[in-house]
Formats: sequence, structure tokens, C-alpha cells
Amino acid sequence: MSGFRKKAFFAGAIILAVGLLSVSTSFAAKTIKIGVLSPLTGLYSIVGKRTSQGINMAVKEINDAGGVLGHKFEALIRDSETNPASSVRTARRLILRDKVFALLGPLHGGAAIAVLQESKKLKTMNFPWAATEEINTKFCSRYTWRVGSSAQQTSRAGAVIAHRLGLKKWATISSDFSYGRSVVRQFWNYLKERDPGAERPYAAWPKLGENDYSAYINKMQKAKPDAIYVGLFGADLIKFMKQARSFGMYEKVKIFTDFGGNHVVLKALGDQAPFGHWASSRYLHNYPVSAANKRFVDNFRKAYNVYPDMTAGEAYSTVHVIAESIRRAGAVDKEKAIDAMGGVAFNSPEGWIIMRPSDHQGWQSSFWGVISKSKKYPFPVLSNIQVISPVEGSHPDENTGQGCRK
Amino acid sequence: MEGSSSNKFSIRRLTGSVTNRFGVTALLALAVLAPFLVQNDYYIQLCTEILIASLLAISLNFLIGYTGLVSLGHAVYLGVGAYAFALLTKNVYPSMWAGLIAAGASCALLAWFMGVFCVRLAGLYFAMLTLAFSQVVYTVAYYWRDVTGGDDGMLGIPKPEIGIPGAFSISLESFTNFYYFVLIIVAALIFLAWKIANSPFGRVLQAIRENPERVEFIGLPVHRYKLYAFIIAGTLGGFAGGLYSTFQGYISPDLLYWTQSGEIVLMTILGGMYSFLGPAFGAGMLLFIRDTVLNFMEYWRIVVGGILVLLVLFLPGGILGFFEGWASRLSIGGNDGDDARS
Amino acid sequence: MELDVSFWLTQFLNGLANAMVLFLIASGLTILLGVLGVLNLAHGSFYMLGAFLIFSSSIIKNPSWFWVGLLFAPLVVAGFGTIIEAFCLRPLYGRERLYTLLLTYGFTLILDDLVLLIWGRDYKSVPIPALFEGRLTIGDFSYPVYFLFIIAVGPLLGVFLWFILNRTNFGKLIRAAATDSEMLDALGVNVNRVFTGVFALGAWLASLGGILAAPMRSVEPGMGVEIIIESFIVVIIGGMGSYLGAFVGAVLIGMLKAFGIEILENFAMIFIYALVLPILILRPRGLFGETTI
Repeated sequence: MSGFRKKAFFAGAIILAVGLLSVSTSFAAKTIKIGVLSPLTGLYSIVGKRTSQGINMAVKEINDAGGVLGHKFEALIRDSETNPASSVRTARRLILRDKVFALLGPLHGGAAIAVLQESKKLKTMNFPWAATEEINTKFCSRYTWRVGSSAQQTSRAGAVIAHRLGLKKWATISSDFSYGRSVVRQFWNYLKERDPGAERPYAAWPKLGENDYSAYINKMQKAKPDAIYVGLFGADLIKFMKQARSFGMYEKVKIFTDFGGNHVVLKALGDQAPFGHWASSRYLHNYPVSAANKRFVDNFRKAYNVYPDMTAGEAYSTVHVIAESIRRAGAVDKEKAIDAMGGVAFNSPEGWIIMRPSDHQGWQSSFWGVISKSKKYPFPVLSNIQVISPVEGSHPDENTGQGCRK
Repeated sequence: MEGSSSNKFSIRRLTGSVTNRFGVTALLALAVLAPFLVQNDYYIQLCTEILIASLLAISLNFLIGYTGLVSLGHAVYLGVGAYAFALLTKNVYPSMWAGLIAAGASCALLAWFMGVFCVRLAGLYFAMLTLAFSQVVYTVAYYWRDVTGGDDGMLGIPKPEIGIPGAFSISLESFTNFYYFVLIIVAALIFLAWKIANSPFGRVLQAIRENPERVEFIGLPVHRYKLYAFIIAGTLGGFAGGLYSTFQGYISPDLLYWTQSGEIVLMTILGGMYSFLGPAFGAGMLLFIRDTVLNFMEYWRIVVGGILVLLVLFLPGGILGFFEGWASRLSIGGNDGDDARS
Repeated sequence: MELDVSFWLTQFLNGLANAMVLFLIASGLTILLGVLGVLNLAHGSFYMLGAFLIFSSSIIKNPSWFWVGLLFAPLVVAGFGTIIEAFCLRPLYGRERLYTLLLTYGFTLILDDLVLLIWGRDYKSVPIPALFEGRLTIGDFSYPVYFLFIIAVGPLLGVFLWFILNRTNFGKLIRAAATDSEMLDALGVNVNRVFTGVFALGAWLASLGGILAAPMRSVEPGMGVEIIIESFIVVIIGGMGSYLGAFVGAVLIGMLKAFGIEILENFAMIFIYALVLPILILRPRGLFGETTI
């Protein structure tokens, strides 16, 4: 055994050790770090950039106003890759290494549930982007909160509209995973409750990320429904819409899309959007016409030269709600902020959001509207907007919240 | 074509300098001291993940480096081991040992079943069949929601405490405890793998890689040896899967997807497939690079991909292989590392 | 009963349209395997590049954008493939095949991020070319014209490939290189040039697949990852090196996907593997494979 190899080994060991040590960075005292899991790549990357922009804008606003209790906000935005394993890994890194005050995201339903369990274990509050209703019920904990709408709120609101229009025969399509199933389940159960005569001859469950929906579309047409409810999200929805359009679905049935009112989707579809059909969005840049919304949209356009979409609005509000909870707690303390979270009210661009203590869900109205061409905007927007009160879409108290107190 | 005997990287480096006493002692000391060196729970759990990935990469190297069989479906053991551990500890009995044994045993059986068909093929056909098998398992895990949770995966996989019931027990919930637990298991399994690799059996495998016809000619049953190698690799991979399952506490079918298999091959080659510990080194490198780059720049794929391309073009023996080759050239001169077995 | 006929016919055409996109990718992949023995994981990235380039040409506000893109984008991708082959792949031919696998894997990672750097993160939507808008309607039966266009392009390119391989000098060289490249080299043929040509041809075909798929699917990084695995399955079924096999394999997969959901709605993928595994086990060279690799 040679001397040289000894040296090589020592050198290697030292390099490794120094490398590991040097990356454990210093901790700045007067900042509140928030960790953000944003889907910058993968299936949901369509909204990743806007999510990050919404976060950055809120952080800038808070800091320009002097911060919270003398602390500046700092956002650490990381790619969640729309992938559960990588989301969990990054969440751990943000909590353990970067010592974030709160963790925001991710968007993928399965990943969100995995991450919220991790943040519960590591005692850090987590605001998933995912709308799966299980987040407020089965998997809720002291550390899990959601500012954005839940699938329950938007889907039940959709059922209210569907019932109003008197549509009887339905087909549904949604991705085969937690969020996708949740959306359609909520819609269908609520519609059946209001209208026992409604029937559903066909429910399609393509896999997440499916490329070719033509076979499902053909089966839908065979079922001859009056209307279809589409729970697909992200790029999946756009693919489906384009294919449904070329098969003539736009003319044959009424289409309800849970995610289709989102600005980025409508912008991407452009002239191929399903005009005259119903869609919802958890935030709208053109509604409500309030001072808060106008200011948000103007500032957003000034900063990024694009319109904010649903995820931008929700991300923006989430950061402000966290700031508000710290102000209410009167101390920069994770646990105290959680104690103060229930009842926090924020005048968000989409209207007042009140953090409900029982199920940790932000109370807010849901918006459904008709996809229309607009003279004011160079892309389709929702018009004839119906505001559905949160009462319609919220979890009845007795069924939920047991988990949230743990 | 695969593994021609004119290969520049001689088999001798399989037992290259790292396996000498000093190197191993240094590495072990580093591994034991790691929690104190890194001082941060995050890096302790990153080291834990590196240990598990090391075991996985070393297990794959039984096929690639030793037997010359390029498997493109090794993630199947990571996944099946992980699901076996999760299903047993969640639904049947929450015991660490039972879970790990279930992970290893299920993968041994699976490898035996797959191996019977796979080892009859060589080269690209072997790679294709392993890929196809792993995709079948992926598809089943993805669509069989009732058992595997489908795309949502399985949550809340426990870290059962270890010890003797009634006498004493050690909780593995703390990052440091769990790290040492994984270190002991992984070190023991890697030691076992090393023993097998350097047994007469291991030498037959290497001979098969170099020249299967000659081995056949001597009268040794090549297929059966390949099958044994396949089962050993699968079983070790299964243990890695079981450890991963309890480590993450959450698993999803992504573990079984072909890109995951590609990543394991990547680790193996990155570190160097012709040295025993090379794949472990590659696993550490890849996870460390990804962890660092992912968190400091948006475009991490371009960095990892670029490193990979440069490595393939300029350091084909892998990183550890390169350093070992360099060291042996400098220290032994013309002797070409023949001392390594001492 | 009238309705059922149009339903099954539609399902059949859906399978066929799906198959033709797969065929374009798999045919390049299979020739590459047959001639170079290279399992090109970056093949899906060429598909992706084709889709991104047609997006860029769709920005031209002129009805001819699609034809401009269809003509030039594959040439750009083929040129890019030539560079990769000549500078990165060629030094690896003497080494173990594993290295080419890793190199191409590295390129899939690089290209996924490169398209993000060049084209940004905004969602890319490619419209259907005006000429192929609308549906062909005969009685109860109605089918999108664009899908029919895709179905027509597949066999056309199949014939074109057959012509190149069987009726041109280049094709003869390719087939000779597939059989014995060393012999070809000894005969004084510049084998490297043949290899580069094959690689460029493969990239050209894959990007055509991306262009045809773009108006119907989403144009995004990572879109190659899924398509490559399906293409491999096609290659396995058809046999490495056989473009006829790739055609048959692609049609089989397309049909299994379209009709499989009639039997086991959520488990349709399993039929594909139920077909692949026995073929690999019983006849590893595939249905039409000749070359031994």
C-alpha cells in the first residue's frame, strides 16, 4: 500500500468534509424565510412561473412596507418538479437546513399530502397549493392550512350552477389521482344531492399526464351526455380541450371545467377555447372589480408584464396571510403564529379570505363564469360570473376538523 | 461486443486500492463521524439517503460491473422492496426486521422469477427485457389503487423501533439514530457483497463478463451463475428499497419508473463500475450534486447532464476508477495495480 | 347499430393516429439500433425539439407557417443530431455500449433544460393548421381531418423510408453497415459518414413525429420521456433494425390503447406488456428482427 494513495484518500476525505460543512450556510437574524415548492418543471409547470411571481410580489410589498415586526420576508423558491419524492426531499431541506418559518406548496395532490405529513413531523406550518379536500379532513393537522380554495368549494359551486341549468345526463373525466378524484367526487355527490334524477352513464379516469384522450372522447360521445364535467388540471386540461374541440365536443355538449377559467389556460387555448362553456377559477384578474384586485393586477403587470393567474393570486394571498398571522401573534414564533392563524382575515384581490379555525381552510367565494371573447383583453376571459358563497362549498363542521386539532 | 476481453479497465481493479485496509477504515471512520461533521439534521438525512443509494448502486454493479449484464430495470427492486416494507409494516405487523426481510425476500423471489427469463438473453435484449419487466411492475403499482394507492402512493410508513421486546428498545425517529441504523445495515450488506464478489463464485462472474464462451467451455453453467448474480443483485436492491421506504415514510410508483433505473445506472457508471466501491461513490456524488445544484440554480438538469456527458467522453472509468487508475499508475509504475488483492 | 359502427371505426382511427406518431419515432430508433447498436435515449428529445420548432414557426402570422415548419424544423433537428453524433457519439463506438446509453441520457437532461432556456416557461400552444381544421362527416360518422392527415403521413413516410433503404446507394450502405460494418470499412467505405447519416435520418423522423403531435398534445420539456418508452416497446415488438416491424408494432400498440380501454378501462396499459413480455421471452428478436445485436 503506497504513501500516495494514503494522501489521495486523506485529500478526498477532507474535500468531502469541507464540502459538507461549507454548505451549511449562516443564518441571518432579522429575516423570516418562507420556503416555496413551485412546479417549475413537469406537468404543472404551466403555473410554476406565475406561482413564483405571486410570491415574490407579496414579499416585496411586505418588505417595502417595512416588514413584519421589524423582520424582512425572504422567499426561497424551489422546483417541486411535480414529483412527490423530490417534493418531500426539497421540503425537508427547506425546513431542516434553511430553517424556514413556513412551507408553501406543492401543487400535486399526492405530493402535497406527503409534504404536509413531513412538515407536521418537523413542526412547520404548511400551506399546500393542492386543492384535495382530504387536506382539510383526513390529513389535517395543527400545521396544515390552506388559503386557496379547496376542490370541495369550487366543485360544489360547479354543481350549484349545473343544477341551476337543469342539466341531467353527465359524463365526467378527471385524472386518476387524489385531486382528480376529489374534484369529480365532490361535484357529482353534491349534484346528486340536489338533483337525485341526474345520471352519469360514463366516468373516465385517464392517468395523470395522458397524451391522447381521443379514445375517452369517443366513449363520452357514445354515452350521449347533455354535459361533461372536466376535472383535468394543468397541461392535461389543455390537451383534452384541443382534442375535444377537434372531435366537435364544443358543439355537442355543455362543458364544465374546474380549472379551465384559469388565465394561463385560457391564454394558451386562445382561439381554441370552449367559448360559451362554463369554467371556474379560484382567482380572476377581471373579477371582482375591487380596489384590491385592481392594485394587484396593475402592480403584477408592471412587475412582470403579464396578467396574474389563479396560482399567482393564491400564492400572493398566502404570503400575506402568513404575515398577518405573525402580526396577530405579536411575535416571530412558529407556534404562536399558528395559534393566531384561526380567524385571520385578509382583504385579498379575490375578496375577503377568512381562515376558518375548524378545518384550517380559507373561507372564500367561488367563481364560475362563461368563457367569452373580450374586447378589453387579447385572450379569452370569464364573463357572466356567478359568485357562489362559501357556505355551499364548505365542509359541515361536524364532519371535519377532528384531525386539525392534532 | 459487450465487455470484450481487450477492455482497458482490467478486472483487477475490482478489488482496487479502496478495498485495502486503510481506505476502508478511513471511509468507515468518515461514515461514523459524518453526523458530527455535518452538524445539521438535513445533511444527516442526506447522508442516510446516500448510504441507501450506495447499497442500491453496488447491488446493480453485481450485474453491470461483475457479470457484464446491463440491467435497465433495477428500480424494480427499489420499488418492490419499498412497497413490500410498507405493506407489511402498515398492514400486517410494524416490525423493522420483518419489514426488511419482507423487502429482501420479495425481491429475491421476483429476481428469481425475472432472472429465469432474463439471463438467457445477452446485451441489449437483456437490457430490454429487464426494462420491460420493470415497466410491467410500474404499471401494476400505478393502476392497482386499492393496494398501492396508485399515483398518490403510500403514506405514513413507520420507523418501528428495534430491540428485544420487554428488554430494551431503540427509537429510530431521530435522524442520528436512524442514520446509524442504516449505516450498520448497509455496511453489513456491502461487506457481504464484497465477500461474495471476492469468493470463487465472484471470480466466475468476472470470467463470464470477460468471456462467457470460455467459461461455458470449462464446463461451468453460465446461465445458472448469471441467475445467481441476478438474484443477489435483486435481493440487495430489495433491502435498499426497504430501507428507502422507512427512510422516506412515503413512496409512490415513481420509484419504479424507468428514469429511476436510469439514475441507478448513472450512479454506477459515474463512480466507476470496475471498482467495488465506485458505484457507492457515484451515488454520493450524484445525490450531492443534485442537492446542491437543484437548490442554487433553476436549470439543474443541464448541469447534471453536462457533467455526465463530459464524464462519459473524458473519464470513462468513472470518477473513482479514474483516481484509482491515476494512483496506481503513479505508485506502481508498470506493475498495473497487481498488488490490489493483498 | 349504425352508431356502433361509427364508434368502432372512430376508435380504430384513433388507434391508427396514435400509431403513426409512434411509428415515426420508433422507425428512427430501430434503424439506429440495427445499424449503430445504439440505444438512443435522446431520441425522445428530438421529438420534443420538433414540437418546439413548429411552435416557433406557428408564430408566423401566415397560413404557410405549418409547411415552413414541416420542411425546415426536421432539417434543423437532423443537423443538430449530426453534431451530436460526430462530436460526442463517434468517440464512443469502440467502447462498451453502455457509454453511448449514458451519453444519450445526459443529452436528454441537457435538452430538457435547453428548451426551457431558449423558449421560456410559458405554455406553448400550437394551433391546428387551417387546411386541416374541421371534421370529415359521413352520415353519423364524423372524424377530425387533422387526425386523418396524421394517419396519411405515416404510410407515406414508410414508403419513403423503404425507398431510401432499398432503392438508394445510401440505403444499401446502411443495410450493409447493419450486417457488417467492419467489412464495409475494409472495403474502403467511410462508415462514419454512414453512421452520421443514419443518426441524422433518425433525428429527422423523430422531429417529424413531434411536429405532427404538437397541435394535439402539449409542447413541454420532458415530453420525450414518455414517448421514448412507448417507442422502445414498439421496437421490441417489431424487432430491432426492422422498420417494417416498427410499423406493425406501432399499429399494434395503437390498437391496444384504443380498444384496451373497452375491456379494462384503467388497466389498458397492461395489455401492451402482456404482448411485449412473451415476445421478448420467446422471440427476443421481435416479429421482424433479423440483425443479431
